[in-house]
Amino acid sequence: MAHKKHKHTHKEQPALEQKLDQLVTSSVTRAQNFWQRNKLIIRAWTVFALMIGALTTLLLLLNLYTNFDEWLNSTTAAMLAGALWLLGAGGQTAGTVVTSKIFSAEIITECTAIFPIMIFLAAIVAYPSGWKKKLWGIVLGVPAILFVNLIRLVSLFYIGYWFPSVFETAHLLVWQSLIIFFAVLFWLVWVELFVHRGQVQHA
Amino acid sequence: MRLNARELLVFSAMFILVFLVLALIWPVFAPIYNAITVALANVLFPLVEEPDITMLKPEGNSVAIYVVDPSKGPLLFAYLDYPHSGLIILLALLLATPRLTWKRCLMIILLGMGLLIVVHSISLIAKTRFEYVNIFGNELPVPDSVYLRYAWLGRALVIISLVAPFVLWALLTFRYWFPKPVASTPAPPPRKRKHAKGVRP
Repeated sequence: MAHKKHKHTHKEQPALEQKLDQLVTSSVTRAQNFWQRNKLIIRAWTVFALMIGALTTLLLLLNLYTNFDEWLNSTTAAMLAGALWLLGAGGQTAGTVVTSKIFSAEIITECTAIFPIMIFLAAIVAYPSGWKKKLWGIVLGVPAILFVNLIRLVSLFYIGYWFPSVFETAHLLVWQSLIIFFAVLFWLVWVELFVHRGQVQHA
Repeated sequence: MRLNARELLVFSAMFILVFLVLALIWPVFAPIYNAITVALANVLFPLVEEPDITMLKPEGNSVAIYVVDPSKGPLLFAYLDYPHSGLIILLALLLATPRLTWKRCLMIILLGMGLLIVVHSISLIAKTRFEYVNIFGNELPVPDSVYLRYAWLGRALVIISLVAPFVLWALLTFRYWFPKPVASTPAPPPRKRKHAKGVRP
């Protein structure tokens, strides 16, 4: 019985090894194929994550060693006050506080366009394209995001004046999401207009 | 596959429309979603805290942080407002995505929501820990390295919570419509023309 069992194992051994070999080979081939098919996308996502980490570190260092936060907030406040003044709401600033005939608020880092811009920059740098195209994206995209952020702040002042009960929802739920959507939309437009224009993509 | 200008416009309009509709009914779903993420975060807290002193409670659109004192019971520490707004962005993005069949869309929505619940639960823990360092940083002897780590985490969390739904959406749908990167390979050399037998080049 024992002899039979031993013989049986001996017969099975090469078949098992062969199967294992096949499994390893097919797994390696599958992994290689997956990498070949998706390497550009995997590389782009890795660069995006690294860029977000690097820009966050840069922002932290700038805030630690310079008055970047304060400068950013007061510049955004000045831009908002200017826009309100142009609209006839009489915007004025005192540091980072914006006062007007309709509403008053203090500008903090989350009110500025710094986070959407960081996400936009990371996406532009991560997407495979030439540096000239990336530069065009940054030169056109960053002012566009700043402009949308200004619209967001001005609209929040009017919402605070006309509909004070929905101010918090508009501020924290609606506009904070929409500003990131616009950053993503500008990136998509850049990809279509600057990167893929004139290129034939194979399915 | 690529998007043209018209498709981008339709996608943007659809996103804004669906987003606004979902924002209107968000107060109905926010407490349910809050309760799920808070329950998961409370289960995960003992993994990062020793002793486990934090208890989170869902309160409408916010999450209340309670610190459990054995002698006095749970004490209200702080509030995290609108910590889960990413859910409606993800739903709006998925519902507005072109070239996605309803069946596939439903599957991706379920998968995306599951992933987002995990992301939100983990970020609730990280945000709570950050609140502790932020508030007690001046009172307790916290080493500079710990404070810097949490200061970095605090900024990173803002970006992560903003970008998480977009990243999940892109990861789950890029195969269907996302503009795929094109490798900048050099153009192939021109092929030599074959000449028929007996014909001189």
